[in-house]
Amino acid sequence: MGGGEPRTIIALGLEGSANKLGVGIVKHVYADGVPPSAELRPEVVELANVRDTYNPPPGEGFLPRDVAAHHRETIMPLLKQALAEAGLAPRDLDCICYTKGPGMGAPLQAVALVARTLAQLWDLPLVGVNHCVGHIEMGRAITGADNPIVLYVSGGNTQVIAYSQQTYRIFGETLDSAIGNCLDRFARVLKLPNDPSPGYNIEQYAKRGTKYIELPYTVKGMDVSLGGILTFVERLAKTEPEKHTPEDLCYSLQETMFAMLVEITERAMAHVGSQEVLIVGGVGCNLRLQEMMAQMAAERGGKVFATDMRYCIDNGIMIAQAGALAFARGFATPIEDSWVTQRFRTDQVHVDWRT
Amino acid sequence: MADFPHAATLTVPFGEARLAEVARRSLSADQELSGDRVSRTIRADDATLVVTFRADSLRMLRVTVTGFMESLILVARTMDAFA
Amino acid sequence: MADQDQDPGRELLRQGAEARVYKTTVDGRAAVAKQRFSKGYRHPELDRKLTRGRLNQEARSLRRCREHGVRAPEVLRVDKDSATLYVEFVEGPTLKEWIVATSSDEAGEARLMAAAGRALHHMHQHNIIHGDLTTSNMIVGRDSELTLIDFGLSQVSGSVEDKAVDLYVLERAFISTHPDSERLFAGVLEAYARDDAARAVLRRLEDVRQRGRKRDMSG
Repeated sequence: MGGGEPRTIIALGLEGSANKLGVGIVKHVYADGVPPSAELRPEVVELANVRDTYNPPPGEGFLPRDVAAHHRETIMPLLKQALAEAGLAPRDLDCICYTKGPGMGAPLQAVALVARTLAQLWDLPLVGVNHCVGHIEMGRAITGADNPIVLYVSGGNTQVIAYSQQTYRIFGETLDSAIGNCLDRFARVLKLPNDPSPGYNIEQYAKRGTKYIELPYTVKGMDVSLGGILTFVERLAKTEPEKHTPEDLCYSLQETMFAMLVEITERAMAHVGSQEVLIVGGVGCNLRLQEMMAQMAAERGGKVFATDMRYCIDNGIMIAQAGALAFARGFATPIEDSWVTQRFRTDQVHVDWRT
Repeated sequence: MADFPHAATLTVPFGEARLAEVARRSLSADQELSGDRVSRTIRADDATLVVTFRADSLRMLRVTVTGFMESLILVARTMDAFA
Repeated sequence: MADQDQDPGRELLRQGAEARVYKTTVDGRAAVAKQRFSKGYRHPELDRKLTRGRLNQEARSLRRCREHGVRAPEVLRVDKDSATLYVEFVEGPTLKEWIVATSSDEAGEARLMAAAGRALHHMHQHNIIHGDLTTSNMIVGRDSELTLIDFGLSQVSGSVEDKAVDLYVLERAFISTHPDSERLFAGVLEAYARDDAARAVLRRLEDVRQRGRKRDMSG
């Protein structure tokens, strides 16, 4: 290593691109200084990671304006809680990281407004972070996966990602709906509760399913199509409810969709010759998906890495984590350039903290 | 340039010029979503924030001002909590 | 299963994500045996359906290609019990291997991109959707024409959307495999655009790309 001046970076991270509001604080320690050209591998210390979730009533999805109202109401107490848990005062922080996108416009904007205002009040640099890159960097930090193929599965995203030349490249993705969106929509058809999350309740129903119902299966290269399966299973649930139990429908839906995701992940592993898989994003908490992925990886002599609810569900510390890495490389977002954006692809970020 | 016959002006006292400037910068970063139907200018006049809206319809003007108020209140609450 | 024992001398060419590919002989001809194996992570019913379905579909599409003069290996035997497809051995590097090995031959490269475009146009003209187009699934012949292989994810469809997605899959494979992919793939599309039907597919390809860019939403 460089043998440079030791450096510590304490970053506050604010996340609110969907229905979870998260505030996290992370400390990065570079005992030998920040290496100018090598990959950044600081010692990572979690100081706070608090979250509050907006749950709409059963059978309903969430609207951006209601989510934004939730974030506005909840953010001050959550910020105070995070600072108290970390035992820090604002002057102890080095930068304020916030989600620039992708996500829902109004909720992103509400959180960004608070981030900008705090940055000015406390005279700290602001760091705009790509939500997806936040998930990847947190997953790597927590699991120790060094250079994995990443399966990113959430309410809005379904992507198979591989790192190459300072970019997280998208190798495969959904051609229509995101996996989490499909699971949420099917939960609404069955009127399952939204608490703690629709996907969690689908998973519990699926555990009790026994009969496999054949559903469409569509893999094209390293891409998948999920919309057709959802339409098909929705029709089964609505037109022949007496023929199929909700448990069997949830079970078959998971078995089919997850098999498709594992298949394209394996194709990506074969394509780049990687032996590691990291699963991130809210759907990544699903234990059946983790189990299937682990089985695939074991058959190839590889390994799967996954995180628990604290990190795979949207959170603030992942934004602090990715932001702190970029900040160590000198990156900051001027207030005037700190607009939020609903569309911000994973491969648009220059990952200059890796080599 | 579109025709924006409807206008409204908000004048918000912040007590300190510094805080009015903080609010101006925080609120200016994001564009109005319906940029082809409304225009918005924000300036800080000493300790006062002056915001002018112009819109193509009264409804659009009302929606825009209401949305902006929510943002403004959020900025003010952030200042109350952490300034 | 008996089949494996009959053929102890076969040589493993590659092990993919879902099949082992061997070099062997069938009735004295050089052949490739592609044996699909089951995946433990899948539900057994789904696994059987996929393994069988892909074995049959690959054989069907290869035959259809050859009926219409699209260059693809001849099917020599289908062994359902061992989920093995035997096809004629096609000599030559894959397009990917060729590009990697011959990085400075721009004229040769342009010729092969045009050949790829023509082959895909011909295949789509007969409503064959490959389903897994990559530069590893095309074999470069001595005459600089390409032979298409690996039809496990194929289907028969006349839909413009299916054809456009087929090209989109190839475009993404180019991007994730080859530097300077934009120029190379443009050469493929240029040769593909041979008639109005093909130009309609290219217009739809633009829609499919746009959808991809718009999709990245909340986490």
